[in-house]
Amino acid sequence: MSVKWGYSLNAWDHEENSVRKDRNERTFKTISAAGFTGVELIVGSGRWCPLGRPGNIKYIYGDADDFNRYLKKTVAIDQLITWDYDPGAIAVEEDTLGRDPSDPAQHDGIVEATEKYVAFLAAVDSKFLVVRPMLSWWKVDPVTEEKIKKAADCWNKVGKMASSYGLKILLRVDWMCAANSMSAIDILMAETDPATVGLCINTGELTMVGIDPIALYQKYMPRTGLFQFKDVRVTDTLEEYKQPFAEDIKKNGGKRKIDRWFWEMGHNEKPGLVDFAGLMRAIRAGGYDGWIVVESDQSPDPAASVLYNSWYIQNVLNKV
Amino acid sequence: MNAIKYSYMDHWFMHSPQGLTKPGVRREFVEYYIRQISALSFKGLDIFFFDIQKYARMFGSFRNFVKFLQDNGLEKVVGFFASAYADAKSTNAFLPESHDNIYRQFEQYCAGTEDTGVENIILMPAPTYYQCEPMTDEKIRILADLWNRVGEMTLNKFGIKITCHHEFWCGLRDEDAILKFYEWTDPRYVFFFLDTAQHVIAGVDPIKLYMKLHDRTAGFHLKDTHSIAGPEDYRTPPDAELMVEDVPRWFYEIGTPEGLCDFPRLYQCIKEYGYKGWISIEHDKAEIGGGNFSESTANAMWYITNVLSKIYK
Repeated sequence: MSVKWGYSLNAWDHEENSVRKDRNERTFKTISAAGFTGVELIVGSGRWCPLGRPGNIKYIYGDADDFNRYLKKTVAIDQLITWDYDPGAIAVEEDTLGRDPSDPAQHDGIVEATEKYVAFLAAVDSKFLVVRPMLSWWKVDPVTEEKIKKAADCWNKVGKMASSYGLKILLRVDWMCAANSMSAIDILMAETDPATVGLCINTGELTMVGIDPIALYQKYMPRTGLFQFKDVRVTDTLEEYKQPFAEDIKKNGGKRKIDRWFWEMGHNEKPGLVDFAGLMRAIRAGGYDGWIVVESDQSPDPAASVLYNSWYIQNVLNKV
Repeated sequence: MNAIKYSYMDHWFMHSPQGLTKPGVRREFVEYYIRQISALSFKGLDIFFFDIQKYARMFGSFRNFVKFLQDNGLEKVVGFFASAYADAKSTNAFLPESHDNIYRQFEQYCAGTEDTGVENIILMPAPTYYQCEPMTDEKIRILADLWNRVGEMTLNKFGIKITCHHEFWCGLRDEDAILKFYEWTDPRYVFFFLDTAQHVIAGVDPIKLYMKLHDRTAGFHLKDTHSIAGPEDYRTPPDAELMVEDVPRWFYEIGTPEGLCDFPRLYQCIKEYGYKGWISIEHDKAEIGGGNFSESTANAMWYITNVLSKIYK
């Protein structure tokens, strides 16, 4: 049983730091030098997302084998862990402005879209694809049990497809997502096939809406296939995720003008709300054998965040 | 146990609510910085002479600062940078009557480190070139006398070596002047500190120079450059590192594709001479043009781990 540490590229979200191959190479080397052995990519669309789609990777690195070789030989990264896929995001290559997993008529499109990622991941020996299980809360409003069950059905279909490649689908609930409650997660877990659909636990996103990641893990230990670690200093106590275009809050700070919602782990002077040491104890006790991906979205200095998070892992979490 | 331990030569700038800043303005920033270099397995820190008192104030004493470093995974401050000057009469290195003042200055710097195991003073042994020219043998001998005297004191009284570091724009910059300086200084008290990029910019092969001075060598700054200096660049007043018109940034971290320093060859050489001790990683001015110290430092350590350490570690 062992924990492996990976890093998400979701903090490198500006065309200055995420498009050119040489820039991305510096990012990969930063992550590697800090001791992380895997990377998580974010699904994207368009020519400015070179790592967001297998088709874009093909232009720059080649096919899955070529990219795998690039990671291992050129930048010393062992594993592409997964992509993080949001079905509601625009995908010009698929001629869609986003698809709704709660709408059965759109399930085939989601299966077709995810299969490209699953096939690529299978070729690099990855074990799962992370997906956002539902659209943003305000888009689904009213959020009903029926809509959640239909979304679960969607992921069962995707899971069945993925299982033919030897992969699982992991549902990652975030702050803004329509499934951002324990009751919704319970429905998703109950309605999906444990053989093909599991859970990805994102500490910061769940804490933002009052879900305890430790309790969630202990409840769904056998279903948990991935952790994503990041911290928060405040939570969405005003439930601003319910307002139209709620995603804007991440940048404009919402009514309280919060400059930055997500933080690195381990700040002493301004400690965050996630109990990472407690979660690590639970993870060790649970015998978790897999990846923990660290995220630093919203960091003004992603490279600094990588190193700071690495220090906390080496000096605190790895000693739990 | 590895022969080499890595130290970080501080030039760090970081983002703050007030824009780019040095970490030393706020203890929280210092922690944010030190933990980053610790995460990359650096065990030492090199600072500037003026940081000794700054950190002593921030942490209550210099010893407390070193304890803070140790709490965060480093071992100690390995060296501090200082320089010869020719600006004010009382500290003009070319005026023998000023040498007592300079001697006392260095005595105070060393005392400020509170016996915490600092090993080197990384010294620019001559003022900036435009303040030295014409550089003569007589001037080199004056500098040699000064640093012999200061070096004897710092080593015998504090256990700290004077190690001389030759900027491409300092008075001792070409190979002929550098070799004369080491010929006329006492090998017991004055040591050589090789800065790869500075020599390459000055048109001096750092590896050949190291081969000639390996028995005087007490440390290294590994950094790279993408440019060789033009014929008059080194004379640019007041600061050739920042003000040469056609080179906005001289220094880069080791391992960039455009780099001109041959680090694998240097490591072969270091291996052959069996050097044991600290090597400092430096990339001053990395912020110029939007560069990032965290990323540069991580990429430098990536290059050490994946390239240089396979030659010698």
